[in-house]
Amino acid sequence: MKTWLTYGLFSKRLTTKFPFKAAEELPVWTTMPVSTGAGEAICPANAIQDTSVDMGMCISCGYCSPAFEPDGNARTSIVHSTEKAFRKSFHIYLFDAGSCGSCNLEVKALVNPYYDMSRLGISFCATPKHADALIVVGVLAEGMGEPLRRAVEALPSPRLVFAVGACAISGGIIGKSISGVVETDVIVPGCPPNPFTILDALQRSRGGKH
Amino acid sequence: MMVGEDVITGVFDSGGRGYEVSYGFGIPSWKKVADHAIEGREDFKACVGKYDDKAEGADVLNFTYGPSTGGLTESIKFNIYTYGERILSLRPEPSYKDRKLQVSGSGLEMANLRIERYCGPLSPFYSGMLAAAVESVMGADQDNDLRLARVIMNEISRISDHIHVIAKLAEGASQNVAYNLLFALREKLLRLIARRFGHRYFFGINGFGGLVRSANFKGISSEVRAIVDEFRQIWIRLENSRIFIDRIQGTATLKRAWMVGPAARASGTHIDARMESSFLRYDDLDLHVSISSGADTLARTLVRVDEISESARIIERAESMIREVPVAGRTTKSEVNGEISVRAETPGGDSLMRVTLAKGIIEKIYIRPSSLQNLAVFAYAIRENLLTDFTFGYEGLGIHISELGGVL
Ligand code: SF4
Ligand code: SF4
Repeated sequence: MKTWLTYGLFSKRLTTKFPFKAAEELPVWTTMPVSTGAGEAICPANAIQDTSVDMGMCISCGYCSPAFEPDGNARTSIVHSTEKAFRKSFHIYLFDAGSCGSCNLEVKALVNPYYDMSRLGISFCATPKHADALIVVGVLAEGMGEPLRRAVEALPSPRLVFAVGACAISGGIIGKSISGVVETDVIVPGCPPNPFTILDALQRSRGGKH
Repeated sequence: MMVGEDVITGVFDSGGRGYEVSYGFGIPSWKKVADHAIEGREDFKACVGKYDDKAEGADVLNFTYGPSTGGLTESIKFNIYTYGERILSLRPEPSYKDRKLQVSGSGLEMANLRIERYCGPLSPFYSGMLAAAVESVMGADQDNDLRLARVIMNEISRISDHIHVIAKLAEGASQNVAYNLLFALREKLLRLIARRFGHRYFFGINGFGGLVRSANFKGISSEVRAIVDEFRQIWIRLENSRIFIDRIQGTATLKRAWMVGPAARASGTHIDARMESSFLRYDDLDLHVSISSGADTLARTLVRVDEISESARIIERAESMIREVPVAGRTTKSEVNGEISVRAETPGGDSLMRVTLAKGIIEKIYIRPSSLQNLAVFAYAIRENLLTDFTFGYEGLGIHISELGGVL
């Protein structure tokens, strides 16, 4: 039986070259649906206005197909403020305000060997006190308002707050967004956003290469 | 008597006039119970998520963990009572992130989309249960290809969830190579799901009477098989690691008649909703139910390891039988009325859903998810274990906190 070391050595490299090269495999229904002109679409999340889609409201259901089809571009995030101090090292804290569990897993996926965010100097930390950015997922559940306020207060400066996923951004079809408690610097749409899109948003928020 | 026939497996609070209670693990039926004496029963408490345990005394230290901390993927608070390193008792408070998911009052399309997001990682199970309930109330015979498609989606989801549980255990035991390989394997599986179903968590796919969009089932079993073979290679090395086995053997041991899923099967109980469900039949798929006997985290892990291979085999068999899966479009305008209860074997175990439909609108819905039972298992099983066992007891049960929130 091969040892862990030889097993590792004989395994092929998995890690993406993204963000320096294009994402090799995107789950299509997390990217921006664009009008194809093929009929009308009724969006259950009211994300469609005429021919454009408000990505903050889009729940990635695919129900607008074939009138709209996803554009396959990983960049759906909107970065309102950047912080260059985090260019070399960037510590992030995942905060679950009331998620279905999938956004959490997509953020956590960034440490798996396919994305390996540590190669970009990004790592998770165990408390908001040590974090440069708070990554908030989920709607604002009643019981999480106070913990969220406290987590934001505990963040040292400079700092960034991300709303990741339709729930955190707009409430999606589930509940209230987090906007009543905290102002966000970066929004990362999708239900859930895919790890490439989250990674792209993290990079852009620190003015990093992308 | 069937296994657990007198066990409470669901409690529907009918508003101050006692309860409607479902007993046993077979086809669900409800009995009105006016007697509040059942409130003291452990199986009742497990169903309603009542955790009132605490410990007092000299030198007993009570501290809290959560609701948000780096060690937890989802928000939950634990009140832990310790004496030195020993955990005397534990009281979970899972309500912090309760979203009070509003499903009643919704039409079928919105109900479906919300139920998919009740617990995202388990979405095909819950959307499949809702679809099966509605189809059954409509009196429609379930299309055989649709049944097989749902079996395939559920079994892929089971493999993904089980790999995740084992990866978390390996992470807790600092088996860095193993957990990286396991998380990579799960990523591979999510990519496969996205390629074939359009979404990494099967959102937007399950519909009523068919799938909402077409999915590609051709050759799916060989792709899944390759992933499962790779998993076996990793597992062979992991089970030979003394460090790993020492952390999970004898940890969080419990045997109770009300336990479900891998926790029940790891204590020698032969229950699996896949053997009984008339809504998602497995009778022609030759299901083998995995059983172990240690009743601890190691035994639960061994059951999961076995189930990963079994799921791959079921997918192979289902793919060989599937022909053309109906595409039903996104909604149905049916004006159906009726009430029905369905159950499914999620990766954590038996979950129960009761739905009342009035004129095609969801009037009432109740879900008793497997995570309720598993959180109760954790609360009881972790007693007399050491603080360092906490991670292994908890992660080994594969609890999804989103499942513990209310569905209104
Ligand atoms: S994917 Fe769904 S939510 Fe997004 S625009 Fe299309 S229909 Fe609306
Ligand atoms: S945005 Fe979608 S995936 Fe994320 S928590 Fe909300 S429902 Fe779940």
